[in-house]
Amino acid sequence: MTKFEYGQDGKGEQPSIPEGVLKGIEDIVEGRTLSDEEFDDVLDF
Amino acid sequence: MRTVELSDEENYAILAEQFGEGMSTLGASDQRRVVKRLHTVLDSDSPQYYVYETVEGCEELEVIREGDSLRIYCRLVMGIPQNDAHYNVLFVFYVDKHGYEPGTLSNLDAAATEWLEEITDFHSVANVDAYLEEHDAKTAAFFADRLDR
Repeated sequence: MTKFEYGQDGKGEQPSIPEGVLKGIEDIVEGRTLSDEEFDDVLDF
Repeated sequence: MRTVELSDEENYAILAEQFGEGMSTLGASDQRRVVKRLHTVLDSDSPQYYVYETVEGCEELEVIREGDSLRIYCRLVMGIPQNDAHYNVLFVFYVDKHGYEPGTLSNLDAAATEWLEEITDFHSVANVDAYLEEHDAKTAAFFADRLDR
């Protein structure tokens, strides 16, 4: 397994990740999960 | 003759609303690739095989790769016991295209790391089946249905 190469600061501080990841983690903590219908609504195929 | 099960583990995915946001930014072709990847992971006896990497500095945050361009941010929790079964649960937080512009990234701070640990700690979950239902958990069959349409 390889390591994700992150960071713009190069200082070895907190990992830098896309903002959506943080929001997704928060979603799960607060119980905001995708229902089957909501998932289907975002599909374009 | 008695049938022997190869695996007594069941795989589920719980999708964050933000994952849907990420999916909505992708074209139909990329969306289909992501759905196919999730199906492959959940249909596997060894879902951990598909974890491509972890985020340096936070081993709890994992990445599943789809081709050169797509990254699925997730956390796979393996072997959650319940009665005679064992569950593997893939929490899917977000998906987007690899290759980021400077300034568009956020820091995974201590609070978020604690959230990750909280999410993946099933010790306080008395009924896994009820938890999965409450969180709209999806099986490989769910994704297969979407691919077959």
